[in-house]
Amino acid sequence: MPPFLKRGNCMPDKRDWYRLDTAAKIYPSISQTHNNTTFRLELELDAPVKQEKLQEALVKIMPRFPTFAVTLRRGMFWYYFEPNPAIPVVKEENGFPCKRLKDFINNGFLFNIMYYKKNVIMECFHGLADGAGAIEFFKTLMYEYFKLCGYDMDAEGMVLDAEGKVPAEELENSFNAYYDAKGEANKLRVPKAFHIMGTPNTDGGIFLTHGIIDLNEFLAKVKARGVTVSAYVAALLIACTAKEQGLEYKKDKRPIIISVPMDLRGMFPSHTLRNFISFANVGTVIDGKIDFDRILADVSAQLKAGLSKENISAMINKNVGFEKNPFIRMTPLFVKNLVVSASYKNYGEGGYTMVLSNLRTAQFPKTMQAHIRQVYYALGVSDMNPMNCVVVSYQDKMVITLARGIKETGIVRYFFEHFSKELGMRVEIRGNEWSGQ
Amino acid sequence: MMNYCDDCKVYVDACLKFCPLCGKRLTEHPLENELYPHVTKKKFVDRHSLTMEYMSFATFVVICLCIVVNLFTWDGHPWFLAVAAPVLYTWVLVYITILSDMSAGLKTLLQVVTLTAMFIAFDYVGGGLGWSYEVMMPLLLALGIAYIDLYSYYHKSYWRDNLLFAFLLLLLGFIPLILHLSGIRIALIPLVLSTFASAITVLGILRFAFRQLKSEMQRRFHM
Repeated sequence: MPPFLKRGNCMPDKRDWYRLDTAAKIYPSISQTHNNTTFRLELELDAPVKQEKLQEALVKIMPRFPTFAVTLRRGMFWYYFEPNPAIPVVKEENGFPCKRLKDFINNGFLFNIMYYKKNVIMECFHGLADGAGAIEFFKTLMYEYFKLCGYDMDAEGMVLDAEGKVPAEELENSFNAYYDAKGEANKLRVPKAFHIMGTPNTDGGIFLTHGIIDLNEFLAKVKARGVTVSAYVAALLIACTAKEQGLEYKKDKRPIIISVPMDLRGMFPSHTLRNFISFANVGTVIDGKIDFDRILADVSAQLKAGLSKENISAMINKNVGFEKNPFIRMTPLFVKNLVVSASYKNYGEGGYTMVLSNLRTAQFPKTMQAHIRQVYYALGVSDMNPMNCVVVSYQDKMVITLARGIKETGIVRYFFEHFSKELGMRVEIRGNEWSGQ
Repeated sequence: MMNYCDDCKVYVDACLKFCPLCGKRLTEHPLENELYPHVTKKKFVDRHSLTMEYMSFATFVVICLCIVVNLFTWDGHPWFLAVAAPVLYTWVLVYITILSDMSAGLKTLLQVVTLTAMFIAFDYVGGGLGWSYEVMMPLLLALGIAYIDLYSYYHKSYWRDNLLFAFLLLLLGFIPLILHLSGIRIALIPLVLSTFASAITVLGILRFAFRQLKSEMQRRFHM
């Protein structure tokens, strides 16, 4: 029986602080310097956003989401979250998307709710929640917003009730719940991955390029190949990276590795709104020739193996075991920050080339769908790995977003040309721009 | 509305002047971007941080110059300390105490520590009469503790931010007593003031804020 069912629907304990969950522990240390640990959810609506209604909805839902109503504090040994009595402010978006944590100016909150014309945007620090948790928050916010706008709404059981009680399982660190101290821990060494070379953008901005394609047409093509969407896109990213970076002609033995985050809630039942994800790293060494079919077969097999329950359990055991290590626990925070920040380059982002996050289908009740035209999700980039990719489907469309912190557009071009030229699909491109680029 | 890029065979939002994939010009008159606000390039240099960089470089040069001159004209007096100490203290005063948004507890602690260090430097350069630690140190500690007590009383919502630093200040408040007990001469009135300020504050915390202190310790130390 999964842990959250054993406890039943109980109220959360009354502690007025929260430990960071296992996956989140690393984020504050790395986000201070070179890494962007922000993800972005954006809904394009059918009418201009009303700021005062959005603000009212936000204030209304905050008590329902105590893990979002927090601020980050430094303890002696770890960071921790403390309830934030202030009110998060809805602002009109300005500046670049996916702002870094240090640029969040929102009364100490670790997320930003913004609007721009017909778009509502949530940018969230990854230490607070993963995509699935943030989507629940965002869905409730938009549900209340639509209600305040005077629309008839029916949640159809798909939206958390803003006035409901807060079940303890939404606050739990689910990694702990599934940690097996005696279980096998992952001991695989992380190979050093190839990293994309390019010219960093001026002012540290991020380009987001959204490619919108027909979902069913693409699914049919992927199914005909007998692979999954994640495997296909990951293989395509590897092929495009290899082509653009000229790996056919270089004797670079480092593999191009795509890190694919996986929502563990499907495999290990959990209702937590905090982080509960694991990563499967898939990739291949380009040895002379870029053979897309071979890459696809490799990636598909690796993805299947990497996302097996045994592998994920071993990964959870390794990460939680690391966190529970007495030596690490007793190391002062400033030392941890120095060590984590330095070693993450080697053992964290040094181990992959790009992140590919497949958030599958964005599901909303029909009454909400009537007012949502499109869904765009994106992920911030780091200095070492200046590109990543997010895939999300909504109704009959799939939006593939490539974020890049470099000026060169080669990978993005090869990627979307594959759909338009090789697969013969209609591709619509949208995105941001700025002067002086 | 969409434009079409012949080279990439993709439809591009009419708000984009150039194809984001190949850079080909698609329109002379782009529409307004409906998804993202236009970001203009920063046309200014951050004057505040630039001034700070100049100031810190000037500080470094002045201190280095004093050390070099002092060493080359050595007469047994490290007078460069009398220059370096107030310059560094001014940095703490301006950059941390006045300009930063650190907690009052940390600011007070840093003020007490750096002022004491500056007076010790003056004392040492002026012949080592001992007035810095006999009188100034306990006086500054007593003042610092009294200030943090009053600040916490009048700014109750901030007391938790200050707690850790106030606690460190309280511990420092007993140093004059420890020095006195170990045979080092400390002026009586300042000694009494600093010890009394520390003791009364510790008793006050234990009597009125013990639960909050315990809770704060739990979260700070993850107990």
